[in-house]
Amino acid sequence: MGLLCAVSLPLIFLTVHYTGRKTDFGDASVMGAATTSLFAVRGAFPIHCQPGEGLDLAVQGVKLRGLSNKAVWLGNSQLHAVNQFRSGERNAPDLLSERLANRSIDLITVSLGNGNLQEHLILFHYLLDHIQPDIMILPVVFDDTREDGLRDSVVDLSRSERIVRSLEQSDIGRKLLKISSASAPVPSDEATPQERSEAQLNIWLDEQVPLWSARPEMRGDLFISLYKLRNTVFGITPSSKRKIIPGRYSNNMAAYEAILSTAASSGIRMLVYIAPIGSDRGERPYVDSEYRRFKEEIALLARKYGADLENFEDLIHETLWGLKDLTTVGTGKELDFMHFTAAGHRVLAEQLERKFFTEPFRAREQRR
Amino acid sequence: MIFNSVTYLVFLTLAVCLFWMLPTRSRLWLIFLSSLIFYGFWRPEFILLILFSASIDFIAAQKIDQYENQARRRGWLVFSLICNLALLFYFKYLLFFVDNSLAFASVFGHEIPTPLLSIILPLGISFYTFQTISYVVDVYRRMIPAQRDFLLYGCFVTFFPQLVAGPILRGHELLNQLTQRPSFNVEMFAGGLRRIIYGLFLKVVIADNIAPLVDEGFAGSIAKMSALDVLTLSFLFGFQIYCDFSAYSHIALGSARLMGIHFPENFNFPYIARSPKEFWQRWHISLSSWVRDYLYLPLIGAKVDDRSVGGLAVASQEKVFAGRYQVVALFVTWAVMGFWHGANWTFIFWGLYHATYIQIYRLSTPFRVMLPTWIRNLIGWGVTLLICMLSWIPFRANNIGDALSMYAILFDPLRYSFLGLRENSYLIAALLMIGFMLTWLANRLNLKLAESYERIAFLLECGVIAIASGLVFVFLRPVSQFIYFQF
Repeated sequence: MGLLCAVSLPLIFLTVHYTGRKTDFGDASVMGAATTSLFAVRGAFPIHCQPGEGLDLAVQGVKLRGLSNKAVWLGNSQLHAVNQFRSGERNAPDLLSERLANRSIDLITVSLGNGNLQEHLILFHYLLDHIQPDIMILPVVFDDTREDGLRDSVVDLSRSERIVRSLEQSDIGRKLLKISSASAPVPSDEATPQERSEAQLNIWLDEQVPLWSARPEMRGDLFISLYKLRNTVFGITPSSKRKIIPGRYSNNMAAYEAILSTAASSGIRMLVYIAPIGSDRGERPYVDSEYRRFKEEIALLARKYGADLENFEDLIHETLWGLKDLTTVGTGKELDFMHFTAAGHRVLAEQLERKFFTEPFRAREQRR
Repeated sequence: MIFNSVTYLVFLTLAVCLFWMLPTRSRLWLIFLSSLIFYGFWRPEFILLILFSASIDFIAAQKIDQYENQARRRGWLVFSLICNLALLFYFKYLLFFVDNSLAFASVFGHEIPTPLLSIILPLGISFYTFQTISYVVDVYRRMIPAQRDFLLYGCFVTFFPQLVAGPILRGHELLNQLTQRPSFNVEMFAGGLRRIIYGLFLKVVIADNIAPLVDEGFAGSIAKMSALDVLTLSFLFGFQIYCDFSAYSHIALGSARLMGIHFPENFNFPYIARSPKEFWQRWHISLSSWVRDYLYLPLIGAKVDDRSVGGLAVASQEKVFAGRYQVVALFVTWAVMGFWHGANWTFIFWGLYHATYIQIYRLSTPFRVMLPTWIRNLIGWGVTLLICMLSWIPFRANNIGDALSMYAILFDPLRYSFLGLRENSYLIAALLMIGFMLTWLANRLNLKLAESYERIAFLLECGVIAIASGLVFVFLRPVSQFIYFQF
């Protein structure tokens, strides 16, 4: 009886807590309710998307529009997140795409929350294979070099033979292929009876038991609670210094170099910028010496492969950064070092256009 | 079929319900057929292999039992051993020997092209082979009579809770229980469910969530690792493999108990051990006692035991050989123990590493006894924990070179000045260590509480089960197989 009660209690609690609730993890749980994700659409086709969520359509749109120049902009959540969003506001990819369309440049943006340069390498090969861009815009963010791993939607992009062949050209590409092949789905005709029955049972449970289908949300909530608890216990705030993680850093820098080298050998114009980053009274959340070294390496590689480089780290004025939900236990807001308001997005779009698509740039394009 | 799946929970529910509704003989049919279905959910074609292997031992045991002539008895024993080991060799070790032979030949300038061999390792072959070997040897030693009923014997070999990853049971531990008709007991049933919940918690909540940290750490560049990273990774993997494998044993014990069948314990808080001897009395007990009874004790010419309990270190009564021969026997036993786990030099290295530690421990006995007991226990615990955790490096590393490189980092003072893993890795390793110690303490406390304050102990346990079952519900997914499935 006691055991029955003990097993039933959590199920009753979860049923009460999760019935009729649906959290959009793209917004509320990952970045907080104060931050909104925007992905622009032109006509029937997205011009800004994430892998697995509209990328195929965005590529199709580029092909149908058939403009003479094609540009891709890869980045992290800074590109799609808007702090303190108000109806009608637009983000930088949307604004820049509109401005570049007037110059016959078709821009599509692909951004990944907590993305890393290794994922961008796969994305870049995918886009290279599908739309053969003329221009690539690549923001480099120190935080992204602390990330690792490939999400399923990115791994799926690396499955075609042509992309495998192009990834095989670099050490880091081969490493990524090894990771992606390890997570390759078993073809349904090769699946064991266990795999087939498990898939069927889960589909059935998802359809019949709402509590079962809410489990990913429960896992998300639990991890966010643990993350907030950790931050509270150890006093981790947005201003806390994020240190280099050597293994991840070298993998991401290798991926950065592979992107530049592939783009250079494909004759693609490369526009690299050090991404804007907020500060707390002038203090960045990085160890100064490590951040300096990072910027030097980025610049060195940009020069090596002939990429145009701009440093936009101070581009966004402190009043345009906005606030995000607390990342510690409790309610309230805190400084957001990564995402800014719509006014900040406007500044970024204008600067990108001014620095990279002004007369000298066009003159150089024509010389080519 | 894997335990951490909805499929298994449905299968187990059906099997248990039918079990209690059927008469004794039909129960045996149910166990046998459901065990074959359980195994067939992985690859149906390998059911024939397990039946073939079991049949050979069934016949060999009967012949051994039937003959009085010692030479004939030994002949059938050797026949059975050769058949079992040949199957194990073909499926598990052939590729290893081919690769190493070719590499060896190339050293002498003979470049032989690698033949294209594709051999699938049958799930649980190491476990059921050892189980059937112990059965035949026990019959040979006249510890148990040979079984005349193939159905009963088939249930012993294939009984699904222990088929794929143990515990490795002895004939007398299971055969008698299968012939009895236990009456339904609510306490026993609740105990079985509790063990299944604990097991699933350890697997889907703990082990599967540590796995990404371990995988990332071992996939990273060794050149960029610090000494603290190596220590952290060894502890993380130590906890992952413990949670993973003990989870399997919990679920196996719990599933069997739902049908009124008791298995001996396979784990008992191994990381609180104060000596290598104690560690192997607490870790994978059924394997370490198997190796003791069927390899180590015969090698040193001592009398054997007939229990799959007590671990490797249960003292033998009559040591015939001692001294240098005993050391050789120790190292041979541990090399086999390592090789049993997998066809790779890393596992042999792991085995010899443990043999070395045991030998050093034995040699240090005169010095240790001079210390006060509490100091001896404290130092013993610290040293054993560290050495056992570090032993997991070759177990998990990609190759022997990587394992040695990781060990070398520990001896480089410059590698103690930085950290190379994500901050959470250190935090989680520390939390797991604290959690493990607290669980051990809570377990002891609950046992004492249960003696005097039964109600409080009951409520505490209900609280733990409520949290564990809630988390199991949230995390139950067959994300990964159990680590020991590969062995």
